[in-house]
Amino acid sequence: MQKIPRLTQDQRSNLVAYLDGELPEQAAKEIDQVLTKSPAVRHDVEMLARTWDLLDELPRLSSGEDFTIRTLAVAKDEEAPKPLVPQAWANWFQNQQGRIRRGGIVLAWVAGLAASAFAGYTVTSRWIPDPSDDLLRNLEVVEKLDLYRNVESVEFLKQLDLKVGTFDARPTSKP
Amino acid sequence: MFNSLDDGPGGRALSSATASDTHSNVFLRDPDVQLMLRAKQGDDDAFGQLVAGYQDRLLSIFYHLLRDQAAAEDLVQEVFLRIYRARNGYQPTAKFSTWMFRIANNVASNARRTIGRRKEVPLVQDSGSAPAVGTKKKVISDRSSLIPTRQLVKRETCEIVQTALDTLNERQRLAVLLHKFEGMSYEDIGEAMSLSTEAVKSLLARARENLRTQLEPHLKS
Repeated sequence: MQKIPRLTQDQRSNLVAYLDGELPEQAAKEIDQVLTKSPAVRHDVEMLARTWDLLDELPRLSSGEDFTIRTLAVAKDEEAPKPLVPQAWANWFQNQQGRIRRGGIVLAWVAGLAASAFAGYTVTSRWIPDPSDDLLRNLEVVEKLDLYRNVESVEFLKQLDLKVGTFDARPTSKP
Repeated sequence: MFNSLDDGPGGRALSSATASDTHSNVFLRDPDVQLMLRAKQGDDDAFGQLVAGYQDRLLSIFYHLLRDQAAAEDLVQEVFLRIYRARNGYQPTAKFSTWMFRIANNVASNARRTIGRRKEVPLVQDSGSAPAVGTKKKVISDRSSLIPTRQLVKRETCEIVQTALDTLNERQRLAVLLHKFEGMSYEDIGEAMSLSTEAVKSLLARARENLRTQLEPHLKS
């Protein structure tokens, strides 16, 4: 009685590769030889093949017609230069452009007037003397004016000094 | 830019400039690489063609990873936005689809981490969040008193297969989806998932053995 050949461990692990046509020619021939003589191995191979074929039942999905367009749009949008201010702010600025321009003109006028006022004040204060400046400069004299009026003359003061020694004994400078 | 994102095929350094040139020449035949090169030159129509060509394919994969159509659409858009941002530094050192699915893998990983941190939404939701189209179909079918048996069986089968798929871990599921839906070779899957071809082989072998365990009883019944 002829002995039925059996698959070696390596051959068994190569059965899938055999079915997929991924085995070298020699290894595939060896499995072929076992297959022709062993109904059990043929059954194993058939089961592997049939269960593999069942995967054809898995659904294939469709992403819809606009998927390509959406993907291209997202890809391009990613590469588009981004504005420095957010779009909402940009829109707000656009809508308010008239008001912003008018406000700017008003501000420019106010600034111009303020600058003119400052310049005018600076010029007038430097070129036109203030009468109160003299008073401030001679404040000490002004405060003792009543006293000085009683003195009458410098000659009087010299005589007073000689007699009473009212002033400090300082050498009198000759004119 | 690819390297910094770890999305670029350039992330795997080639040994020499000559090797790089050879790779580029090979991949220049890929029409999608040509579209990407046009997008690099500023042709937004070319980029639009790439989006249109891959959006549903990516959506189906993300949906079966997340089981949430809105979240899946967001991830698809994120993938294309990353591609758009990276277009100026694009070098064709892989098939466009391989490079794109590598980005998709990174995006899915980030999404998993985010969801894991939030712990708000389970990665795989229950069948209540089925895609809108499917739900609509279901309502229409339920309202009809004349539900064709074949349609009912098909729907049940679909649910069984989805449940079986959900038992796989994330990496197994992605590898299965890339192989089943996209027909990608082990080598391309490896490049997209940053795995060796041998690791992909092992990953898919375990995944399909799991699927067989889950689905075989239904085949017999």
